[in-house]
Amino acid sequence: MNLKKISEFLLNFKKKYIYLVMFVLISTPLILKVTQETYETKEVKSIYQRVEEIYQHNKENPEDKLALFISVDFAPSTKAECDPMMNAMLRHAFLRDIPVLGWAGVPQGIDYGLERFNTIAKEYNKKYGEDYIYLGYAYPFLQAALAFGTDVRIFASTDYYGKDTYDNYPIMEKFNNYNQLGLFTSITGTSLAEGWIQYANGLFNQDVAAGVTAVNASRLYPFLQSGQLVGMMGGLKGAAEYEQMVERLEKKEIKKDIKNYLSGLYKNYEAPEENPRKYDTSYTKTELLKSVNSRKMARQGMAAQKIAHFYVIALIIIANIGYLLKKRYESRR
Amino acid sequence: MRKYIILFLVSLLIFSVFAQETNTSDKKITPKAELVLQDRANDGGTGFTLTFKPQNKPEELKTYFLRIYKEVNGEEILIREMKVNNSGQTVRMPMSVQKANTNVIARAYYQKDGEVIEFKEKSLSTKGEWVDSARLSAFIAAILFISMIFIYVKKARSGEELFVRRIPGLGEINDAIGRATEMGKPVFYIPGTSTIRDVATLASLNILRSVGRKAAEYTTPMKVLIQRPLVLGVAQEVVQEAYMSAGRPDLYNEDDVYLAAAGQFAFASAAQGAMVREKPGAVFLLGMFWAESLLLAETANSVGAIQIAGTDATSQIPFFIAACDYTLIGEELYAASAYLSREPKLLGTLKAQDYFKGLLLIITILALFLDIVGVDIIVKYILS
Amino acid sequence: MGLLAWTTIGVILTIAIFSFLIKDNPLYKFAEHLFVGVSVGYLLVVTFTQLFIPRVYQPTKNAFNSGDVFMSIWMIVGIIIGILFLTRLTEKHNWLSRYPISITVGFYSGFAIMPSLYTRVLRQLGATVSEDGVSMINFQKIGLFFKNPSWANLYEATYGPLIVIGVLTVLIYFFFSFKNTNPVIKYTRKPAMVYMMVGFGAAFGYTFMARISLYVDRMNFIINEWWPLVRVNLF
Repeated sequence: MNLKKISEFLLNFKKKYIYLVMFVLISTPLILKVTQETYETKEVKSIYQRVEEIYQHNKENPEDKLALFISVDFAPSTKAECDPMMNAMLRHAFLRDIPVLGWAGVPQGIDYGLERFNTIAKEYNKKYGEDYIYLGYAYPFLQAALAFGTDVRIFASTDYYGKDTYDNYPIMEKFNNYNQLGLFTSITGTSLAEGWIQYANGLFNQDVAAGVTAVNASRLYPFLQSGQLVGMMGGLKGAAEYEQMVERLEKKEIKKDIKNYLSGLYKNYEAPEENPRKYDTSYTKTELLKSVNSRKMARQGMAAQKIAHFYVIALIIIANIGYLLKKRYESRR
Repeated sequence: MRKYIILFLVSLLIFSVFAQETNTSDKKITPKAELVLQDRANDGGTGFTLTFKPQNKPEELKTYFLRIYKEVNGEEILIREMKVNNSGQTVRMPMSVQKANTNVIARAYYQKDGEVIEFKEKSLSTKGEWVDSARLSAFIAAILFISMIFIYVKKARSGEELFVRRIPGLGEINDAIGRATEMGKPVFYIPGTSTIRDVATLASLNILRSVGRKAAEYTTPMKVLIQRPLVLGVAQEVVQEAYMSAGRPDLYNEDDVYLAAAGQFAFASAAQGAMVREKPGAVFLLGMFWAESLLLAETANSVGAIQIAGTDATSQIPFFIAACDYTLIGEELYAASAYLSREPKLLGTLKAQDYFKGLLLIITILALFLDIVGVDIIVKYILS
Repeated sequence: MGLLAWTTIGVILTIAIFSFLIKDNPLYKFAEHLFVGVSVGYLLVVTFTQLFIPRVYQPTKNAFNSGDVFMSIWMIVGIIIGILFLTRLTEKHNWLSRYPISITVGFYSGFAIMPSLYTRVLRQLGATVSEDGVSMINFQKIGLFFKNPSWANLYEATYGPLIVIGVLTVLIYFFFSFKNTNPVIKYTRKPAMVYMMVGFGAAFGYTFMARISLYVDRMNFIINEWWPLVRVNLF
């Protein structure tokens, strides 16, 4: 057995062939639209349960509701993992009629976050200013975190559209302080989640949850273990888990096919002159397709992930075998 | 006789009917409830809690109303109005006003014959505290730590020898710059992609001073790529000072310390492009990095540069360990800036950190032993 | 049709960036420079509409309209200090920019001391000692494992001690004041390295998933967003 030749072959695969095989392996489940169901972990379930608790509280105390705050702290560059998380949380909140407030913690996420808020709100016939609001860019971060301790309107004196938050929006009259938030969620690809834990939870004892890219997920486990985080969605896996739970809820609540539900949502709707919605009250063919697909984005990605991970494990094993053979060959020499 | 008895019974019947009707119309509901306003402790004077405990039976009085006002220039302004369904449960609502020391008035009402009638009123003036007693342990720890820093910095300034063990990887800095000089290639330095507030950025800028001085001594061109505007200003000054201290202010070119791009991946693209075009001999990746770390390390590796990396971002350390020649892990980056510069301030701070860590370690081990035997005093009052 | 055009441009730019895998080429350079330029332009617009208007202009206007003299003065003083940042552009007056830099760095560093210490040090050490009121070194759980050996009981019995040992050894690894020959440093170095490398390996694996996710998203964009648009609009 020519150890040298075998070890050289195993250690010198050309990069372009590795990339090509990776390309084929990832594209195949996406073309075939394979979805991968996943087991649900405690970290993600605790966020889901917290939102359900808010729903129960709001049901029992209709005059003293709690809201959900989603901080869009990611740029479109990390939307692969963060977008499904945000979509799933927004769907969960709107399904349960929980008021939602939001803003962007990074400049590149401002318009992107607004587009997602309006798109998901459209699926549940929610009104801007009453059921949800988007407050624009939350910078500087520290002032944003501190302002919520008294009245966030001191900081966010206008919303994204430039309208005064004091006079124009019923949702801001009721929800402008940490006391009125049931959960603060930071969806981020940076370390902003730690900032929210440090200030919102550390100074004001606000319940904080995080939806982070897999890169940052390992950093947040200590905060989960210490109870400073309610829960965490880590990477595409976390997004897939939450997406799965929300889909089950949606099937239970809506009781019909999503395509039919969305097509019929604005059939007999006549837009009033005042308080126009921030979205078109109709669905085109492509919008319907996009809406339906976006509900299983993370799980479709997980199918490709599974194959890619097995592929890389195989490559690591092959490279290690090559390395061991090379060492043996060199020691024999 | 019979006639009188019948008359008596009929009149009794009539009176009893009237009596019932009278009872119904004169039935008085006395609304009862406990209304408490409490100032929230350990805040800036804007928080208070309203506690409302219904004391009527639910079948007696189904609904209460609450109105909360704040006094502004003698005028009462309604801040909240709500309906409370009487389920017998206490309602507890934390609330806030915008300014400290505000007079807050809560009034409870009930409904009778379509009219809303007040039956209870409580008022409170919100007060702020100077000290948040819930965070006293953190405050004491901060004072202790800052005192230790002052003590050790003073010791370092007085010339006392403060031992810092040798950190592997630091000796390679000179070798890396030397290698770049021999190859006739520039040195690239990226002080992370975080803000000036980040400790890793500040440590990196200290190391930049040493690297800049060495590069000036070897007359090796050095390019510093920056992502944040505030860091740019500081980096330009640091490099200029480094070149001046090496006696080569003529070599300093302000355009060599430049803002490559503002966004994360825009910066990564720009830095990769610069590395591929200029092919540096040595690349220093020291500071805070995120997803762009492996992009930068891989590109530097592909152009044949020697790489010295260091970050406290635990998510990026694995990539640097895999892709770079030498890696400073976590706190070694801070220790490196003290070790290289030998500045009394940095050395003193490092020693204070070490001894403070030692103290916390002792407290933790003590707390562990006490907790095993069921005494949680340290966890309760110091560590939580 | 507009949506198709923009999505097609997105696909072209995606492929242009991926072409870097083959080699640096003009298409990649074009996409890179376009990205850099658009980022700066977008940031400029956002700075005006989402920062200047709601944080500077609107609050100042509200302060003046409400007649709050104190707040109005504060806003003007703040705006002047902020403008001093721009003096960095001039050589003669750039020393003025040191004032706002010192205020910013000083305030943020100082304000972060207590929350950082509380959140990242004291609470974390507290969680190392006990979790939900139960000690991390729980002899009852250890005894339960020996009485009734199972994977679940093994996990419960070892979870706490593993965390405690890991935290203590890694903390000692980062002592720089003791010599490498000190016995405490010497004998905790290897366990600390094992813990750190296991941790880094887990982080590496997690990060690999993140990278694949980014690639999956791009492929999803091309296959499930762009291609259906092409089919619907052109075929």
